[in-house]
Amino acid sequence: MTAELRDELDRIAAQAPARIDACASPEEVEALRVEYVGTKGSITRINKLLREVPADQRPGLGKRVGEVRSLVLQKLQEAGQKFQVEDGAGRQRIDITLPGRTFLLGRRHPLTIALDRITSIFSDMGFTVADGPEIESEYYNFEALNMPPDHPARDMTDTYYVAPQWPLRSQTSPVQVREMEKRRPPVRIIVPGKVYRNEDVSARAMNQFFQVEGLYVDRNVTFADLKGTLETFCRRFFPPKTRVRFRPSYFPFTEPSTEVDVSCILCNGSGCRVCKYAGWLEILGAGMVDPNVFGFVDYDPEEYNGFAFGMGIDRTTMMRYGVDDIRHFWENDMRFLSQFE
Amino acid sequence: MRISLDWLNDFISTDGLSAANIADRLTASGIEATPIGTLIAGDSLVIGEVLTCEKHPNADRLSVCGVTTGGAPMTIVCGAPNVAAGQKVVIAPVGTELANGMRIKRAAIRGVTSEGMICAEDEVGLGDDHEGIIVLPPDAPTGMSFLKYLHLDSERLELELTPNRPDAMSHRGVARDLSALFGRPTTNPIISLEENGRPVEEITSVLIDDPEGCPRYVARVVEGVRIGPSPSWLAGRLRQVGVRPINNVVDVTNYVLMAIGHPLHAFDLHRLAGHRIVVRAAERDERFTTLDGTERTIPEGSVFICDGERPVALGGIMGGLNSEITDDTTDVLLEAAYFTPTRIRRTAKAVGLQTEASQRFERGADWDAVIEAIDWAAALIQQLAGGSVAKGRIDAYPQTLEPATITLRWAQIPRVLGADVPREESKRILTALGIPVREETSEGLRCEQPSWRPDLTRGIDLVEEIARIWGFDQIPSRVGGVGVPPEEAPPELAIVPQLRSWCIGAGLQEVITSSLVAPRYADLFCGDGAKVEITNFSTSDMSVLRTHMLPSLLDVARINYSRKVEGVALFELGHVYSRKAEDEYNQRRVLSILLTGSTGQVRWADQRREWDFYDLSGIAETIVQRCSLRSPEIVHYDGDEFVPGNGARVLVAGKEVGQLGQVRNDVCELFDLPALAYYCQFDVIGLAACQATLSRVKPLPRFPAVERDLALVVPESVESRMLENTIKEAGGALLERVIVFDVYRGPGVSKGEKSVAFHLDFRAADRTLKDEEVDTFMRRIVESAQGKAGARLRE
Ligand SMILES: [Zn+2]
Repeated sequence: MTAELRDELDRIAAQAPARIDACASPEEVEALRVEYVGTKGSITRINKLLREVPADQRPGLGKRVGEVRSLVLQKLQEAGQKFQVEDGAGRQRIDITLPGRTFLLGRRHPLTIALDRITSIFSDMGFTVADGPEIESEYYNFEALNMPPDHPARDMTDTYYVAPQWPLRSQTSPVQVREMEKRRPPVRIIVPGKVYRNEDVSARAMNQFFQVEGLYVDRNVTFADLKGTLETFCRRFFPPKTRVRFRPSYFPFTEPSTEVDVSCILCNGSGCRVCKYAGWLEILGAGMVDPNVFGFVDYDPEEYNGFAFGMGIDRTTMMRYGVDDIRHFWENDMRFLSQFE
Repeated sequence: MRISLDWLNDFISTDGLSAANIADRLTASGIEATPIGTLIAGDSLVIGEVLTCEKHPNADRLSVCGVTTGGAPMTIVCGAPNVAAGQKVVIAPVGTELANGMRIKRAAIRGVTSEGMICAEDEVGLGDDHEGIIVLPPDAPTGMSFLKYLHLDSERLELELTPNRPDAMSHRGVARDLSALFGRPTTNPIISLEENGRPVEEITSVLIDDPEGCPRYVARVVEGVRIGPSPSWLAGRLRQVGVRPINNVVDVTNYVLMAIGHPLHAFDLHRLAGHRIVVRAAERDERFTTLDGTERTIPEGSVFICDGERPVALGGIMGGLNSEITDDTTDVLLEAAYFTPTRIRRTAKAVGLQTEASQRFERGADWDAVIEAIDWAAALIQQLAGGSVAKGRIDAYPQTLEPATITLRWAQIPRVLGADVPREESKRILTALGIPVREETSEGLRCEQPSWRPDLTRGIDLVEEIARIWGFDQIPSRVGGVGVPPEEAPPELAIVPQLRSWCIGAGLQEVITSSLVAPRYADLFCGDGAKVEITNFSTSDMSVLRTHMLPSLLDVARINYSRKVEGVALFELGHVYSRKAEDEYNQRRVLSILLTGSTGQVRWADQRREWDFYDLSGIAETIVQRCSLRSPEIVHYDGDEFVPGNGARVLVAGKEVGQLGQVRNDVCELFDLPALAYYCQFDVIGLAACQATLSRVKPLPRFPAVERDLALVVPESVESRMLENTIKEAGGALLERVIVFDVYRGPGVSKGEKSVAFHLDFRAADRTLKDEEVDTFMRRIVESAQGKAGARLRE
């Protein structure tokens, strides 16, 4: 059957251009359109028969069908243009309302869109992008962040391990230590990256997600700079009227530590399901770098001060767009992704 | 953790403060608090007395009761079998909303109008019992609110505590923060203990064999108690904070725990062999049955509380079944101890037990509160269960715990906060939090660590205390302190946004996929080294770090095909991972691209077609070209990923930066792909390394080019790149550009051959070329192609 279909396609390819060129009226062109590519046209019919062709021959023949079809369509289009409509005043015109050719332009993933925006806001404020390994040593993931073995804060996250001393980083914070080891202050970095938590995957939780970590160490860096920097960020990243609140909290590697809340972007603070009727959304953890951490990287805490912050972006992005299942970000259904930008 | 406002009032006055007030201030100072109302709904439930109880005239099982709640009698129709005249009962008057959401209405039941309901346990949300109505003791005061009667009428707060604040895991602990926040004093429990028994040393003894794990162990004995239910004020308070009442002795230990935060344990003295306590470290593989009835293997080094013969409690975590208080207990040994946090933490984690006690001990309990806790518990037991308290307590304290001396320099406060808190205010805050100021100088303060604050040892810790109570709101915001970045991002990071934008320009959709994959995906292709497996995974479908990007992208294609999206063109900038050696791991950033199925060009003027190899190689060439400002070399490659003969390496200046090709059919089948798939991957560091920037522009040409076309018939085995190179070589310096514009097979060209047509531009920088000159070049080109590739001119 393959050979017969191929012959028929060759025949069409050989005859169709001349037949189309010979048309003397738009009606004749239309008749040929129906004959070749109409719902019952010969090319359409062959295309339907493809299903019955042995699988190993299908791609080759399918490709040939596509070629011949394109050829015929091209000729029909050219012929059609010969018979353009005249407007009342005797001027020729084309149907400008027909859609243009498909322009293939890709898109960023929604999480990238958020990461890019965050990175760019902090770049404007003088932060440089840095990076670090996801398979991290316990030293960087815990100890140098002021979490010695048996520290209760190690329970704040469930950590994956690939070997006894080797966790998958549970936060981007180890990069703080690595970067400080590499250079002397000023250090002003922003670290977008993937982190891991040993959690069961569900609509609300994924075992990996993206965080952005920031660190600024210099002389005379204070909590007031932390507030100013993060307020500026929140005002640019969230809708203009967003309010920002700093709430004392605890992280082993910062002191004082703060949780940063923004007024709920959905209800504007009046309370809704997303913000659990609190009117606030928790989006960021931050604090002044604990002197113990400086001890690990040999910075003099009497000379230098710094602040650090970290935020997960997956949840914020979910809230921002009303995504009800976090797994959408990882499944990559084109019908989901094509809605962004 | 839950606290009740009523209970809080034992330690600080909350007059004039609503639950919301308190929650807001706590939240703003570091203890996240949410008001959660009373334990059970039913403000209007009231205690009533059944005056009369007669059979319903029209229904056998119903009774018609005359009931008073203090005022005029009313009629209630009741279906419970146990209702009788003279009983004290719980009345839900018209308008009450019950725990199940039902609202009580005036209603005629079989012709008799009922003006309320007499409630069963489940109807008020107290339990599951629906056998009959609740019958209260005869002394229950008619007309009193039922919630008040049960001591369940208090507003409550739910607290989310950070792990550094074990001290706040009690009503008194929270009261200390409130004292600093609202400027009100705290009050302590008044303990009136009458030691009316014999000397405790005559009854028991304590030996600590493991002072490292248990630095302090205090014991008291109460003899001759009567075990029974707790009074409702105690039971009510425990219930409100989520603790189930058990019996008067156990409830007292829990009461003291929730009140001042120190865990206690009560043993039945007669079940302790030799009536004595020995504290020792557990040996290997010891088994022990905890209070919950579970027999467990206890990790070596756990703290065991033993009697003369055997373990009787898992120290700091849970008591043992063999020594618990029962209804027959008469003599009680009370324990108040301090355990070393890391020891408790290790055991609790290993045996998977999180108890009220373990949560406090592993974060750090109050080592001085043991005395107060045990005295108070003994006094309460004496008050509620009778008995005589033995004279004195045993205080085994082999390793004295010393509080830290903390130096706070005034200069440190503005240096960290960027704001200067008034000194008097700083002192006030510290004092209100119970942090004694031992010395004040012009430089700063010397303070003592409170025994209940394991988190306070350094000056910075006090700065935080001051800041959180003073209020983060009072610290100004400073902007503009930061400036130009100290340095640029490394090239392999800086190139990432560029690569992404080129891919998007090529029409590709970015995807982000899981780095954790199923082992069968990780084993599909060779990675850079050994695969890296998660040792504590929860689902085997995500138990290995990916070794290759292709399975991840094919999986995206699979999901989309299964949902009728016919064709994808996508890219991901992600990592692949490998183990190079023990303790040496590698992650490599890869740009990966996958094309499969329809191009999605389906409009009237489009060419409908499927993606093919040349779409992919076109994208790959452009990316390399943009990166390195030169065309890549594409050479054959028999990689695992690709159909033999359809794979290629991408080289820049002889260095491999990537691979591309048609994905093997059997691999496509694994992912149920109905169409051919094309895959390309680049090593991002490799691309970054070959990055070039334009140094100098070429001048625009001043003379026209001479254009020629050339169709060469060659054996199928001759590849175009070879022909192109031959032409360029033979064409000389004036051959400006060579383009393959057609490849033809069919009539006029014999089988086993193909015709490859080139378009050539010749140009000289300083003159217009003559046709004769170009003819000479063309002859040279044809000759060379004949010699090197067996080519002939197509007629
Ligand atoms: Zn909201």
